[in-house]
Amino acid sequence: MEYLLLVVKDKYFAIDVESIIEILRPKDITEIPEVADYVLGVMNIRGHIGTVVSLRKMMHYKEMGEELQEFIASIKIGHSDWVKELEESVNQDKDFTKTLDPHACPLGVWIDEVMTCLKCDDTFMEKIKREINPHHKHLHEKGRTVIDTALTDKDKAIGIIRTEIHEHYDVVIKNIEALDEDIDLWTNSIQRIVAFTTKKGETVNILVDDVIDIISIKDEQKQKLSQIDEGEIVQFDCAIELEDGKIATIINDINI
Amino acid sequence: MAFVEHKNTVSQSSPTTAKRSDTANKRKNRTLAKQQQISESINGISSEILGKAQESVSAVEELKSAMEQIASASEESAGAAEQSLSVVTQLNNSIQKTMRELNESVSTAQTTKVSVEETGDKVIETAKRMEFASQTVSDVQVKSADMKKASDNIGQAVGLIAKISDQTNLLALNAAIEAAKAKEQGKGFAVVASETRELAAVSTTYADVIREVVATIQESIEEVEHNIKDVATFITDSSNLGSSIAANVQSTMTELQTAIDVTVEGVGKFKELASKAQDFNKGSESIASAAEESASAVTQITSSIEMQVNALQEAEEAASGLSELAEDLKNSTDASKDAEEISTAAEELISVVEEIQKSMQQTVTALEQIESAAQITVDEATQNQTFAEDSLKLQDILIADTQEVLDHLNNSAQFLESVDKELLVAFDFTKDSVEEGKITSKQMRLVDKEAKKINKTLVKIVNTNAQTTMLAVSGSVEAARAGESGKGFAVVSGDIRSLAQDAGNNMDKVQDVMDNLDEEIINIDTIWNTTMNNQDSELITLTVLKDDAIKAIKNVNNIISAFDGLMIANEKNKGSIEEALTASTQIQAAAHQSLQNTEESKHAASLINDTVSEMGDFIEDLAVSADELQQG
Repeated sequence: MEYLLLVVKDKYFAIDVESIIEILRPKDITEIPEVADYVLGVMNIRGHIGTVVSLRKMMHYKEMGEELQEFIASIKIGHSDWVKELEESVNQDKDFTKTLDPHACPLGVWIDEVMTCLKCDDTFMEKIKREINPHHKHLHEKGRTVIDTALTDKDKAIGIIRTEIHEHYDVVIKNIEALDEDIDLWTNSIQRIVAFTTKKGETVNILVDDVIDIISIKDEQKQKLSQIDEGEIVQFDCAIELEDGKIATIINDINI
Repeated sequence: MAFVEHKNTVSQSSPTTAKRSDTANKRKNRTLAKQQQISESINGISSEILGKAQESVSAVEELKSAMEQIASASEESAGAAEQSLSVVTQLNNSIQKTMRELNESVSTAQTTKVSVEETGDKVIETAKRMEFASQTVSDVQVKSADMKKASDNIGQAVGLIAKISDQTNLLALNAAIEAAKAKEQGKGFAVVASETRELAAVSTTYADVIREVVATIQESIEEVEHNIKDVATFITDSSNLGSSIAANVQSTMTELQTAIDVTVEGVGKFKELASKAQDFNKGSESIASAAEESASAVTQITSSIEMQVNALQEAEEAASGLSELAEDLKNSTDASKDAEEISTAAEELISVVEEIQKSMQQTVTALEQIESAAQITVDEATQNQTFAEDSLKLQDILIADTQEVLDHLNNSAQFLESVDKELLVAFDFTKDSVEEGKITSKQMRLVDKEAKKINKTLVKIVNTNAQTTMLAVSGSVEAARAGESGKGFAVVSGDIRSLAQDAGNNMDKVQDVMDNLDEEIINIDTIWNTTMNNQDSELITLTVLKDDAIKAIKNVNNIISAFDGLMIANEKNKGSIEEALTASTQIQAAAHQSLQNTEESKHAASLINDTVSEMGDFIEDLAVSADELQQG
């Protein structure tokens, strides 16, 4: 039997291709009022209106956008702490423990990921590349200048923190906050919609983080799951171990 | 001596004569009375003669002392003239040497100025080229911004490629789903779908390659842009120095020219000084020969004086002899014989007087010689004093001139030092620009190489795309054959075909962007290489200019040390002139003294003359008395 392998968060799922209509890109999802939290809205699919549901929400995970918002908040705190520690290390002759490599801090890692992602939205990528990356790089590199300068001239080092470091920090924070408006651009370019036919014959459009491949699964490969929650929207009772050792849960049906 | 013997004879014969007069008493009473009268007269005359002789002797003594003074003044004058002659000859030599050195210095200064002028021309040319290079690199800066824009555009193009490969993947998955759902009837679909997925995977790989290459290119281009800015700054800084160097070279030339002008003027003044020294020497020679003349005249007078002293002594002795004769005569019996003796004595006295008179004439002539020599000495020494005073003034002007020249030379040396320093800085800037410029060239070549990689990959993507199109066509054919169960596959195949078509169009756009970037890079690289080659040869020019500057500094310093030596010579010359001036005044004073001595001598000579001539009158009286005695 052929299954479509897909992923949300860091979990794999497999769906029988017989029940799949097609894979789509999420586009212009219109929210609708007074529905369950996993119902994202409706979307025009080849002239028909289809309901879009979130596999993340159905599995009680946070949405990708929410995760990004949390990440942005942590970045702000992290870099604010970074600047504070830098100033303290100069004032109190302490070692600076945070990183001076712009590629090593969480924001740097994320930026590099986004920049090497083939799927990522151009506008979103351009914003990161132009408005965040250079200032973030300068911020960390100036940290090196400050530490070197502090060896001979503390006042000058503090001066650099108060001027250049603060300037770059402000720009990074301001522009990273502005990303909030473009989160949908990013998630839409990364995520996929799997058009699915339920056992009842309804069509449900499931938002997933990514579709990976079509795989063949024999019945004997399936492993029964011990704990099954019958009340869940997503119906599953088996899992399969993939070639790389990861476990994929086999979704039987979606019960809206 | 004959006169003295004669006198002795007279004195011995006196008592004999007295005995004889005793015996011829009465007859000769009248005769005796007369004899006594004559004897008294002779006695009076001889004492007068004696007095005159003594008077003359004292005048001669006076003359002698005056001569001694004149002799010493002449000697002094001759010595001073000799000394100042040697000093001024030395001065003249020093001036001649100075003039030779000045001419040498002027020629060195002119040569230096000419070479500084050539350097200046080269500096101006270099400054122009630097300015041009500065302009060129600022143009390149604008162009590098275009290149940056082009490199940003390939970023977007990469996005396009990525989107296409992503979309192809998605559609291939859908095709695979359709094939799986069609089961047995979908076997043909499954082949098409799997091949499409393979192609999609390949194009993803290509997209990945391009993305990486583009990241490298963009990074390099950012560095290139940054380096170009640095190089532009180096070149602009060195270009700015160019005008300052040119200005300093100009100032050097002005200072050198002024130094040359003042020096050339100085050479004229030195010539004047040399001619004054020659005039002075002529004067000194005249003074020396006047002193010689005066000395010879003094010698002549001195020997005359000796003669006169002897003659006057003879006269004195003759006068005493006469006195005795006169005593004898009082009681003499042989008056005739006495008369003869007296007459002889008178004759002898006359000859003495004549001798003195003759010698006096010579003395007077010699005195006139001395007087004229002293007058010449006074005139020449006065003139020499004027020469020396003029020379001193001239020498002071020359010292001031030399100082002025030194000031200008030092200024020009300072300007040249600045030129040298600025050239060094310009050289460093240019060297930095060349070094960084070469790195930039390398980076640009790297960018070009990487860009070619993209082009190759693009060709591969285009090929892959063509294959995808063909597959999609096969998929459509298969779907049509499958009838109802092929409907879903037909849709997917259609989607794949239209995507492949879009991809083809998009690839053209990407190719345009790449061509544009390539063009920008070639554009910049050409200008850049030319500029860097120019900068490279500028380094040689700057080295040559620096050598020129160092040579000029060395030359100017040589001239300065020549002028320092000249300054010392000037001070020494001034000392010589002051010595000559002192000598001139000394000579004048000595000559004035000589003139006064001569005047006194003349007076003494005339006194002697008068006295002797009075003595002659008395002798004539004596002769008359002798005649009377003979007749009586």
